[in-house]
Amino acid sequence: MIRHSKLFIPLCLILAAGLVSTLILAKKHTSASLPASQMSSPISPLDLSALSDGADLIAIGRVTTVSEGGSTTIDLQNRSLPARRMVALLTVNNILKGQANSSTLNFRFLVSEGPIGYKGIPTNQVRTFFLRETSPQEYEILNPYYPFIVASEEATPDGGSPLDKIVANLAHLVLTPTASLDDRMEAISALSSVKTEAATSALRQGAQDQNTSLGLAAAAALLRRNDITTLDMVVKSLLEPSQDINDSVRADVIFSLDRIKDSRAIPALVRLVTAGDVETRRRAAAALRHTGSPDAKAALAKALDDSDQDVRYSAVTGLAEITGETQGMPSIEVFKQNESPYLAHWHVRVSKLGLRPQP
Amino acid sequence: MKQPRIFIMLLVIAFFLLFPLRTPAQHTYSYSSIDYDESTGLVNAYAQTTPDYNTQGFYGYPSVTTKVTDGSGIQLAQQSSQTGSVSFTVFGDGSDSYTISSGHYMLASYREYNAYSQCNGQTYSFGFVDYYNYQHFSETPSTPNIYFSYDNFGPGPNCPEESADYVFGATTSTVRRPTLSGLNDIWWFNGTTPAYYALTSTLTASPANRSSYTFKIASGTNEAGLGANNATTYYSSTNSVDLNSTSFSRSAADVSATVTVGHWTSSPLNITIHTAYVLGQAGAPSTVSDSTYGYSTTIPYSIYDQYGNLLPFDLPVNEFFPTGWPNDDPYSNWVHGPAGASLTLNATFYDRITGNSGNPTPPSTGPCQPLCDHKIHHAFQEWRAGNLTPGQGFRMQTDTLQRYTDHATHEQIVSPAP
Repeated sequence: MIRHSKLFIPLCLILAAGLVSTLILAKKHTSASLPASQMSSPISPLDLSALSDGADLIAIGRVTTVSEGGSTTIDLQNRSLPARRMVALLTVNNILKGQANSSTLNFRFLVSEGPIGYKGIPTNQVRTFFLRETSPQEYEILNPYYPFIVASEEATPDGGSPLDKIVANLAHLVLTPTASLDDRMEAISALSSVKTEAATSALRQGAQDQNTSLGLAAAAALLRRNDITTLDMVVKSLLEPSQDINDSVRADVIFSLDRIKDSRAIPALVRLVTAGDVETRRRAAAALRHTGSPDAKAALAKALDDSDQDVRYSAVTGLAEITGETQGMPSIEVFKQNESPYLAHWHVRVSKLGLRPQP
Repeated sequence: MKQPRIFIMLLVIAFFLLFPLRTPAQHTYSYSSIDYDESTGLVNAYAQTTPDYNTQGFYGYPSVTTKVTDGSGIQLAQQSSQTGSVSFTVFGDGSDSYTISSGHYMLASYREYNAYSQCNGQTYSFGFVDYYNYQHFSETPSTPNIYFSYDNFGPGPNCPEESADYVFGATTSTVRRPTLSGLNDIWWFNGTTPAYYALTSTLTASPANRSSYTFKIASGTNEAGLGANNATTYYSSTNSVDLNSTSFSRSAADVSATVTVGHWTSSPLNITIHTAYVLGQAGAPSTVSDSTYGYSTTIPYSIYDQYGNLLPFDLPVNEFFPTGWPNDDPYSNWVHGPAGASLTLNATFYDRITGNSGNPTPPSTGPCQPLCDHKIHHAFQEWRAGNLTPGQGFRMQTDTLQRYTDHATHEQIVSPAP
């Protein structure tokens, strides 16, 4: 009895400690809340700088196995959504930030039952993972919407910040013809979220790629940052459509046109606003407006007579803004209700200003 | 005992006789004021020179000579008086300011014969005496439109001179059309208040330090209000008031506000009230395979104001499903998520729609080539800006969110959709 009682007390202490830790872990894994600014689809676009800054560990590698760890819930908009706890085993090729004690590590993530914009974790694909350290050498994904980006297995970035290393890795992937086109396109997309010189340089190199779709995807990313170094190529591809160009990439290029503000782009934009398809003309007219340059007035004057109402709206608002005559400039709604007085006004003004519409 | 008392009394009397009390310093006040009544077009001018009681004993004919000029310095009128004040009106000429300038003087009426002047060491056989040795000065108000009363102070003693005119100095005052300043561009998000966006323009009137200001919304009363109660007209003893957005502009600068100070109204301050009005495609929708959810469709949008300009700052955006999720496939066991919200990045956001995790019926797959047309379910979807709470904020777009087995789409898009 004495021996039993001596053992009994330590045993109870061990059991109690185990029970407490189990409850803590259970609580920790039972539900997950997200910050209010990041709740579900819709989601913010990828921000690689923020991911790089926020991660404790950035590792390039491949997930070899994913195992399920039971049910849980995700707290979203005051609702608890059913979800599953998952654990991934990552074989690490390269560490871009932080330290890992071994060549493999586990990280946790959640899988929601319904669609809330989370990304699944792929197996056997080389990716750059962004992880948060929850306790020493225990990790979970930093952002369930962007748990990873594509990566090149071969590239070994040297020097610089973690973001520099990520950009270098992506640049290598873009310029690797043997990599899959999907991965290279994803690399272009990821690079477009970084506004560093290295990222811009990589996109410019990507724009010269022999694969027209890849080149145009890079060119579109450049136009979105008001970089017009590849604009001539873009104009040619839009005015002389090729079967080689992926429809989605072509649309992406057109959508990127209205981010141009550089007045040196005006000659190219004039070509697009006079000869492009409807969506191209719309975006080119908007870009002419956004240049704010007097050099755009003649083209906008001609666009007053475009067959498309959105183009005509950009012409009216562009002329108003460039001449500084914005008093009474119509909103989209007012213009669509009755555009005649605005067009008549600007036809007269254009005549008085001596603007001869470009042929 | 009586003798010492009488002696003391005599000493006191002798003291007052021998050492007369010094004459106290005297004052003369000078004053000019001007006002403009926009309703009549008349400039009202007034100036005066006012000696106090003691001054009047040694000086006469308090005089004032006054002229009114416009903002370009062109003289519109001039008047003089030897009764101490002038008051007259003159038609304005459309100028944005009018100035009154007055000279103030009096005539010395006290004379001395064979008097020595300690001012210049000369002896005069006869001379008028500046009995109080008035200080002469000319001064302009430090703040325009503030009508000071100038005190010409005469500390004495006298100082006879040959001249009889004593110019105390000049006063001047200017009335200007009041001006109104404030933000020309503010925002409205249907009652929500996202960070970074000014929802209020604080109107500040000049001149400051006047007793009364009348602020008014001259146009756009359906889009803005003044003060805490969003009034159309706001009376204030201070020179500022908040103009709050209550809706959005249909035309640029269609909200205008004025301030009236005295009888003159400012030129209107024109304000445009912007809102997050329309969604524009920021890229082509794309669908990729997802190891967990089968597929992941991304539909990128950017947010523009009602004039087609990309919003300048990031803001919350939310989706809202007001009418539920009817099934297109009656045998489907797919579930849908709740309405979500996010902050934009560079005024851009993505709607990411995935398939179902687990092993749903029918199966969720990667994108077919070409895309499959097996519909799962759909929902009427609204997009609103300015708030993270679904259904709050300004509505920019409506569409039908359609989930298929291998992709998702936004269909029947209507944007703008206020």
